Amino acid sequence: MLDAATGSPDRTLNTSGNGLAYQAGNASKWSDRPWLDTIEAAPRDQIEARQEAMLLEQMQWIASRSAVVRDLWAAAGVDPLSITSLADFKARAPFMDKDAIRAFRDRTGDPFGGVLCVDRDELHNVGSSSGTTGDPTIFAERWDRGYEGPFTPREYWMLGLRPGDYVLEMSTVMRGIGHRITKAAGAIPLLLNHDPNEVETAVDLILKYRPTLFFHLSSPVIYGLERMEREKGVDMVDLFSSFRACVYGGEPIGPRMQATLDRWGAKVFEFSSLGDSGTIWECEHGDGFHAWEDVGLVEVLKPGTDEPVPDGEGGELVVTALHNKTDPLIRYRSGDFVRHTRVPCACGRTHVRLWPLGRLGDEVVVNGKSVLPRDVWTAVEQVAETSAGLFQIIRPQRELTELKLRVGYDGDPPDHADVARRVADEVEARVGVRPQVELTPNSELIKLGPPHKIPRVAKA
Amino acid sequence: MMSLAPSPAWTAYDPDAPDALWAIGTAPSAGGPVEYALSNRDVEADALWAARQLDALGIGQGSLIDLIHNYREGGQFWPFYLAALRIGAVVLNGMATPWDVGRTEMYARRFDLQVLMGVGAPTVEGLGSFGFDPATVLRRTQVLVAREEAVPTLKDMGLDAHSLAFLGPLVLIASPGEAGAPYDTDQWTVTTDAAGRLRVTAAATRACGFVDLDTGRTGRVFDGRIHLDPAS
Repeated sequence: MLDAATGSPDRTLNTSGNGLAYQAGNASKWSDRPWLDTIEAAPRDQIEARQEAMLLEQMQWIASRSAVVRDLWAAAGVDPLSITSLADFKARAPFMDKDAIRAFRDRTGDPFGGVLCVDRDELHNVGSSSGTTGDPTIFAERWDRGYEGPFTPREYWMLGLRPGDYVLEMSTVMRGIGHRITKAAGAIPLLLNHDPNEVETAVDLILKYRPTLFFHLSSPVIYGLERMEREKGVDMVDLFSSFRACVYGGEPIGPRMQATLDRWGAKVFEFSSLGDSGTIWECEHGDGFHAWEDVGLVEVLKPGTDEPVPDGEGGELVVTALHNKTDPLIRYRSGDFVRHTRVPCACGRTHVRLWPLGRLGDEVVVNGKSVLPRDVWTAVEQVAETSAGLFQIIRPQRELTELKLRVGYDGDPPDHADVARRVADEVEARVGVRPQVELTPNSELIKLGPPHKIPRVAKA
Repeated sequence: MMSLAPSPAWTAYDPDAPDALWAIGTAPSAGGPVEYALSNRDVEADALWAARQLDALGIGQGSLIDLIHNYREGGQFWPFYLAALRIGAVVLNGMATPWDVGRTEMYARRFDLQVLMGVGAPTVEGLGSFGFDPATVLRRTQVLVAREEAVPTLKDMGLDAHSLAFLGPLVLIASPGEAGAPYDTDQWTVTTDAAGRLRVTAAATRACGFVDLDTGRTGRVFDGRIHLDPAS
């Protein structure tokens, strides 16, 4: 079970910033089971029964508290209190998206965009997205409540982290210091910046403490590790031998990078966003990303419509926060394209699995041909000087007559024109569009941050 | 299916015990960054100290404080989070990097911040690089606590900031115009060697076991305050 939905009576925080009741609840679940909560492997009818109860409670909660929901639902002529079931919700509930929240914010001056459902003095932390595509999205958090933030205790348990283990946290400060989830699992974080320049210190800490989980790898950090291997002769197989899981996030893994990680023996698990209502994670079977359906109601819809796509097919991810009572997003169109299935995973978990395919805002259409960053990735990786896979698609608007790429290179190639030509050849062969290539040093691209992912699309 | 048999080690492990390790942080020293362990007891002691600093900065129930720091500084900054939360304040956060200034600017524009703590040269320069006027952005906050290297620049902009400096694992905050900064004499012993270098020894109860850590800084210690030499 999740903790009490409407707030803990005891708001006391432990030394790590987790509510005492939440932490005690976590500790009581530590056992030899592969999952923390029985709902993770529950039959579909039990999941849906839980969802329906939580959804109807959420409708009661938001009806009088969420200003943006009040506006959007009134405009659609739907009263949240009139929703009677999951099916009724899916048939009648209006959608919200980032633009609607921003519009509410700009109209009213409310920095939370009308989604905040508690008094401000109940909050512990206000974090935000990195804001690479506009004004950052704000997230309000109450830290005495578990399962509300980006992570739940389930993910690290699923990846094999156990109390007393060390976690290498090469991380960013987006929503406070993210060690709270490590501490909720009873583990000990090693605190470092998510920065390729921090890799040398990371190597020292890994060899001393032999952590079991690495949070998190990204293309810039792998780039830093490759340099350490090449220039300092670090034994990467030994370095990665203590990790049960290396978490990779921020963007897809290209084939060359995957081959490098395989050569190092790194057991890599990817994670991604659940439409700003949580995160989704791979398990050891690597067959899709697990979403927790008692945390968020997941719909996968044909883009621009309210029609669900069949199991196994792709569409836009739409999420309704079921547990979050602080700043819940309700029927939120994420702009993420995912494939999905509700067929149970070989790991025994029964919740929906998702495969992220890309973002609507990243697509360019060059003379009628759709191109996404993942299409370009493999091509850029094929050229030795640009094999780190750091690049940007220049996207002044969605429809283009010419594909322009800014591509990072390593070292000091004597003939830039030759490197650019070879990158263009690879892209043309794999994508079917010949790009104009501008070369820039990897070190300059990495500065564009955030450090776990360079923006793959730039206006200029 | 991943199932790890419970081991006696972790079934008996209490991560909230006072002596249990909270985290491994890093601190500046003469020889470069040095790792150090923090127990829960250490963090609680540092949070008590931090609470006194925040009180002096005017943080109270309902105040908003924006902490600007990088992840590796978690050992130094987390006690300030914890102290602020226990006071009843709300914490916002950003990173001390040029690319993250958009969030710092956004928080200063959209919220009534009591304290902005941790502004350094990368933030000031980054604000300018990304098209913001640093003085306009930073003036929106009632109290500025800036990393020491940024204080003169801010003064030139007409902003009197408190100065924040790291001395090994210690966080030193000095008010504008104040001589020296207080430190937690129950937790740390700070001495000056013959060359004027400041050395730090941890209290016996602390997990890190620093003895005469050469901080790489010079200065003087008297009346319970540390007077750092500029740019030492």
